[in-house]
Amino acid sequence: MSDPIAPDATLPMLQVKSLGKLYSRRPKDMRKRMSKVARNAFFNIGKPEIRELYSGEFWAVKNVSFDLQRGEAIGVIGLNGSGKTSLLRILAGQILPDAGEVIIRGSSAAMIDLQAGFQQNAPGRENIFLRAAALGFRRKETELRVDEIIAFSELGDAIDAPLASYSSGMRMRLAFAIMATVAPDVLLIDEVLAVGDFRFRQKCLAKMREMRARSAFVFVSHSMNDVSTFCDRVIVLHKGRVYFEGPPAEAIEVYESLDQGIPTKDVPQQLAKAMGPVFENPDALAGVAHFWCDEKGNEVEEVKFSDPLRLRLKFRSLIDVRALSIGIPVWSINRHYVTGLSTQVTSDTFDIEAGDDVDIMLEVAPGFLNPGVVKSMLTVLDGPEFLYRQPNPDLVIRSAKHPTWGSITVPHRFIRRDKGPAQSKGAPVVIPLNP
Amino acid sequence: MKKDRSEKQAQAGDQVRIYVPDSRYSANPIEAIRELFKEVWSFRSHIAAMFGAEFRSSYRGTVFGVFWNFALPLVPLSVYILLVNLRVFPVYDGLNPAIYISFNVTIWSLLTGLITLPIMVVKSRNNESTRTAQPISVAVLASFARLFFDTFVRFALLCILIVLFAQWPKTNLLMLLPILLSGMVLCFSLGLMLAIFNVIIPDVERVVTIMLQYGVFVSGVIFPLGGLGPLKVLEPFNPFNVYIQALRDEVFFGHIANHAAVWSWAGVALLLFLMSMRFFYVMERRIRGIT
Repeated sequence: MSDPIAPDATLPMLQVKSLGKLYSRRPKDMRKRMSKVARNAFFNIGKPEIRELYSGEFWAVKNVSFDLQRGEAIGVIGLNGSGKTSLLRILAGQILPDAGEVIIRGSSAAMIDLQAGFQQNAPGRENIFLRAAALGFRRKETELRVDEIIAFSELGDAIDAPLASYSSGMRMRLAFAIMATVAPDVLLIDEVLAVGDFRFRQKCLAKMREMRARSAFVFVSHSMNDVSTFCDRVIVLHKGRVYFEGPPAEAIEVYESLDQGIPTKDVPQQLAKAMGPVFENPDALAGVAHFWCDEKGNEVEEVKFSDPLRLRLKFRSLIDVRALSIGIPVWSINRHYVTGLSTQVTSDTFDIEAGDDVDIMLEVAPGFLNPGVVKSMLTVLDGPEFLYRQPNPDLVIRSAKHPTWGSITVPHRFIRRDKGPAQSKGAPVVIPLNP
Repeated sequence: MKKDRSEKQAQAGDQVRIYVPDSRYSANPIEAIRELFKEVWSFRSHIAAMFGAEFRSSYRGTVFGVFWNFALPLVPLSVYILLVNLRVFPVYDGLNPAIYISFNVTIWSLLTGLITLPIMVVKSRNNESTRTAQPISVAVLASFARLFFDTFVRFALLCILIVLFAQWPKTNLLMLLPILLSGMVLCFSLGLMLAIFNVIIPDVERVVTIMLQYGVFVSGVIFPLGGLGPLKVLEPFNPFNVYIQALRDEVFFGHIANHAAVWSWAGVALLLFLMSMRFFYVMERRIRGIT
């Protein structure tokens, strides 16, 4: 095995790339998969690959990507079962991912489960040593911090009572006090703060703010107030996928729209409003099908950032179309109108006569649209007349090898004017300026 | 190779950790042993704390307190010693029956404990392990602390019996320790492998329990296998019998009768150790959460 890699202070503390975790609703399926894994491991015949899912299996977390810098706090919100805790457990190293990668630069500690790592029959004081030992602290090191931990937890004499006699709030106080004293580089905090009373929760949040100078936080909560006041940006997880990523206020809006039962396949109401009306003219176009596809024209739901985007449009024209114009306005999930793809830009023209079975493919150069969910609309016109206007299926753009900001990445490069172009270590960031 | 969660937490501030699916697959047995050792070493304070907490919790609230921690390991021995006093057992190998049985039961309990404890611990901690970053190997080792304590208590009783019956040993320590270590390694390796299989196929634990319950009678623990007529042929093929007999011979007579059997099993132990370490290392995080 290689030696640990020395961390680079300029790199993110936490990098999550296309993370996935497979679960099974039926233990039978999980055992079946594990049998294969065990067989391969026992006979050392290579890594087992996930080629297909068994009927009861599903991705509890899929394609989740984000970066976290020192001093940053990212919130993760979502409905119950959306994959928040699974994501956090993977980040904490408690379970292995089935896809993707997590890179943590520095120490980390997780507050996910208040029962875990504690001895129920032992007093709180002894549990301080146990928990601290699990975080890598020796007894003598912990002894120096015990008074501070007890003082922060405000448990008083109860610290010598068995943990089994503690309420959830008392456990949370103890767990948080230990973690705050240990002060790791990356803190992963699940819903646990919710069990504390208002005053202590504020004390925890204040302590976390104090720790922000040197730590990074992943904060899972159902308290939108805590999320909005503490986090710089927020991820909305839905069915294991990143449904939205952006500023807290917008994320909370998206979350609330999910919470109000808006069908998950539908875009949030405000986005739907931004995307405008839909329209069909069955007397002009029949059998219209449009979907994102690969180079062979097969439908896809996601593409790599570095792959071209392709959209296929098929229909039977029932009329002669004299001035066909196709437009595809594109939005990000947070309602930003990102760009428009149009035959008016490419100057492509097509002669279409009544009875033609038309099959058109749009191809977009790779590396423009940043990772996330792409919302778009297909608009077909004959001159000024709308023939068709309906949303395209969602397209997920998977994470890039390099960091991205905003909704798009425009072609760019840096030139050192005294010596010539900058030397790039890896592949060029994006497309050449003069294709 | 990409690093997994085996890095030392205490040093984590200086390190980069990468979690990827099945990153441990490419480890060879030596790398697996080294990584597991590092993992356990980094949690050594935790193991000590766990043992201390478990030791205290086992008697907390009882009237006799810590007395129970010394008394309970002696219960199996005391039953046999009682039977010896009732003259149920004859003299074997020229040893006092109480010493013969106490010695054998002490070794048997140690060896079988090394098999059954990993199975029990991995099963019971598997669900909890999904909620902590603590490796299961740490919980397994912490459970051994109790096994070794119990063995120590039984050994102390054995020493008392030896003094009491003036059955002075002629121990060859140079040979005794490698044989004991080899037996422990064999059983520990089996225990680790079976522990993983038991998570995937829960019948394993039951089969092992049944086999050990019968096994005590065909492993020369209570009486030599030679006393079972045709089953004497099993003597060199039953590792428990081989190790118990060899250790007894080394302790009381200073030599062993069947070198070939002992060293053959030592070879098997080494092979199993290498296989089981890698297998456990690769599988430990994969089996988490299977209930």
